[in-house]
Amino acid sequence: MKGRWRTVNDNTILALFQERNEQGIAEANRAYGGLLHRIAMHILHDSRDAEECVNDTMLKAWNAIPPAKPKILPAFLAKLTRNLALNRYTADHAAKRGGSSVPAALDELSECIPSQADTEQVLDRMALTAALESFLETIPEQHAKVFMRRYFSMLEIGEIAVELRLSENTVKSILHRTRAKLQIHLEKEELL
Amino acid sequence: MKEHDILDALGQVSEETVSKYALSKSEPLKAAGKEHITMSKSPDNKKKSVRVNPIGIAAAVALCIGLNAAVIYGVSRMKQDADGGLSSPAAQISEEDSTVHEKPYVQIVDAMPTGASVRLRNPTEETVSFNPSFAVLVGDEMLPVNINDVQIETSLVPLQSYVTCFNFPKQLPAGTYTMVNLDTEGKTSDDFEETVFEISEEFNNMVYITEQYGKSSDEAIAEIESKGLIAKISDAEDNTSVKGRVVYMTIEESDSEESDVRSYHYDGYGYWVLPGTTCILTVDGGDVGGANYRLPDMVGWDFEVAKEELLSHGMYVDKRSSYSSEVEAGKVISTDPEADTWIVAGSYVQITVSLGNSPETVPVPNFVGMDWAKAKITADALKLSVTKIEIPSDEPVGRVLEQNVEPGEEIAENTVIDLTVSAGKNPEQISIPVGIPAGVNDKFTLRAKPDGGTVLCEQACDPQGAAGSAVLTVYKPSEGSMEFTVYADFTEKGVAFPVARYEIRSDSDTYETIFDNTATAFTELPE
Repeated sequence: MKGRWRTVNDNTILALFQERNEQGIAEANRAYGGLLHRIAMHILHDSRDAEECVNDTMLKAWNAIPPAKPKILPAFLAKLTRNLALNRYTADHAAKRGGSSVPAALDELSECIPSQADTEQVLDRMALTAALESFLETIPEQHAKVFMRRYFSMLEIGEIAVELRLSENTVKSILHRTRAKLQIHLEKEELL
Repeated sequence: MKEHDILDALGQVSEETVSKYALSKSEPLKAAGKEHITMSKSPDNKKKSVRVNPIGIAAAVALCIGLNAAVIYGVSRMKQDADGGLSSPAAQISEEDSTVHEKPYVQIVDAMPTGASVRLRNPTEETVSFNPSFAVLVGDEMLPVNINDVQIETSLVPLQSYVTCFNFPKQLPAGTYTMVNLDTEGKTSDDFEETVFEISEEFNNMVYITEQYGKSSDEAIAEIESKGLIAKISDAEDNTSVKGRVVYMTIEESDSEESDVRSYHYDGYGYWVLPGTTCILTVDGGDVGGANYRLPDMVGWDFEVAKEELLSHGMYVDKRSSYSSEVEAGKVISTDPEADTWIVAGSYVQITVSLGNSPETVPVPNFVGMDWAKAKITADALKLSVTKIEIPSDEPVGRVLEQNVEPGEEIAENTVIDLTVSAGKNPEQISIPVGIPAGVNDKFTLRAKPDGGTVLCEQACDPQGAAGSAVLTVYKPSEGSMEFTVYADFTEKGVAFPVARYEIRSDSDTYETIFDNTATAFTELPE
C-alpha cells in the first residue's frame, strides 16, 4: 500500500451531498469519521454501537442535506452524532453497562436544578437552548470550553484537563463554578 | 426541569457554538472550507523527512497530514513509584510527593498493518529493530492527531489495524534517524515510505515544573525561576479564596502557527517544558475588584470589551439583545444598573446589546379578489413573498380566495404569505405515499404545508406500531412548481417535526422528493 495524500474540503463534501453523490458520505466519513466515533464512544463506550452511531449520522446527514446547508460541517455532524448517541444510550439503558460519562454528567447537572423545581413542568426547549447559548457568551471562553467539552462532548475530567492543558483540579473547579453560574442564569431567565 | 433537558438543549445549540467550544482545535475541524486530508493510492514520494523537536512538533503533525507517518511526542503516564520499564533516567521526584514524573519519550504514529515491525537506523548505523508495542487509537496522553489523518482508503478494514504507535524503548539521543517499515516476515517492505526524523538536543533538555496550586505567588515565582523558566502573573481569578494564592498555572502558547500543538506535556501534577518557557500563574484576587467597583458608562462599547471588563472585576454578565437604530450592531445600548453605580463583586450586570436596525415592516394588502398575476406583482412591490396554493372552486381560475395573513397587519419584509387561489372546478391531483416505519405506537397527523404554513392536506394516522404508509393527495399547480414539507404532528405529545419535503410541477404527473427522513425522524419521538 503506497500513499499519496489528497485534499478534500467541506465545500466539496457538501457539493457531493447536494448532487446526491454517495461519494459524499465516504468523504465525510474519511474526514470526520474518527471525530464522530470518538464523540459516540464517550457516550456509548462500545465500539460497535459507536460505529453504528456514526453510520446513522451519515444517513441522517444524507437525508438532511439538502435542504439543510450546514455552516460548519464538522459541528453539524458532531451534533447529529452526539444526539443520536444520547438517544441510543437512553434506549439501551446503557448505564447498566457502566463506563459511560452520561450518568456522571446528569448527576453534576442536577446541581443546577433546585429540588423544588417542578419536574412536571413542560419546558420550551428552544428557550432553554437560547438561554444556554447566551450563558456561554457571558462566561470566560476557557470556562465555556470546559463546560461544553464536559456536557456536550461528554469528555472525562482527565480528558478535558489534557486537551485544554489544565489540571484536573482546575477543571473540576471551573465546572463547579460554571454550574453555579448557570443556575443563577436559568433562574434569571425564569427557566427554573 | 430534568437534567436531561439541559443535555438535550445543549444538543441543539448552534454549529458555531459547538465549533467554538466543544471541538478540539487540534482536530482538523476548522470552519467550512478548510482542508482536511484523506489518502489515496499513488506510488510516488518514497522518502520524506520529519524533524522532531518540541518546537517543531507542529511540523511533524503537518507532515502527518502530508505523509503516512509522523513523529510526535509520546508521553508516559505518571507512576506511583519508579518501577523501571520505560522510565527515563531523567525522571525527577517532585517536592510534594514521591511521584515519579517520567519524561516524554518519542512515539511514532504510522499507518501500517498490525504485526509489521520497524527498524530504526541511527546516525552510527547501529540498527535497532522492535515490534510495535501496541496498535491503538491515538490515546489521550498523546498529541491528539486525528485518526483520519492517517486513514487508509478502504473502510472495510477496521481502522485500528492500520494505526500503529511505536513507543521507543528508551530515550533517544539527539540525532537523525531513519525509520524503515518491515513486513510481517521481517523483510524490508516497499509498501511504506521511509521516514527520516530528527531528535534535537532541545528535546532532551526539558525541565519539570509542578503546577504550583495553592502556593503563594512569591513562592511559585521563586520556584519557576529556579528552573530557568519565566513566571508571569495573569489577571486575578474570582475572589472566592485566599488572596494571593495560586489558583492554577498554564503554559504560555507560542504566537506562531505552531501554537496548536504541544511544546510541553502535562502529566497530572505538572509540566515538562523547554527551558525559557513562560509559566502563567493565575492568582486568587482576594478582594480585588470587590465592594467598590464603579460601573463605567458602557454605552457604545463593544460587547466583548464590556464583558471582559466586568468579568475581570468579578461581575457576572447577563446579555440581552434589542434592535436599535441609534447603536451599531454588537455595541452596548444600556446597562442595568446604570453607569456610575457602585456595585460589589459577584453582582449581575445586565447588558443590552444592539442587533442593529430592526427589519423593515410593511402592511399586508388585501389580496382576496385579485388575480394571481396581480397579487404577485403587488407582493413583489412590497417585498413580500407569496406562495400559490390552488384548490378547486367555482370562482374564475387564478382568483385569490384566501390569504393566511390578515390585511393591514404589519409584517417584516420577505415574509412568506400563502395565497389560496382558484384552480377551476376539476384541478388535477397527485398522490404521495409517505412511509411510516415500524415501532410508532402513537396517533399522529401528517400535514403537508408550503413555507407560509397553510395546510394543503392532512391525513390522520394510527399505525399501532406497524410499518406502512399514508397517502397524501395534493392539487397540482396549474403553472410552475410548488414545494411543501410534510410534518408529523403528535398533538398529544405536543411535538411536530418535518419528515419529508416534496416538489410538484405543473408539467409532471409525479413528484420529486427533496428529502425523506421518514426512516429516522420518528426515532426521536420522546417517551
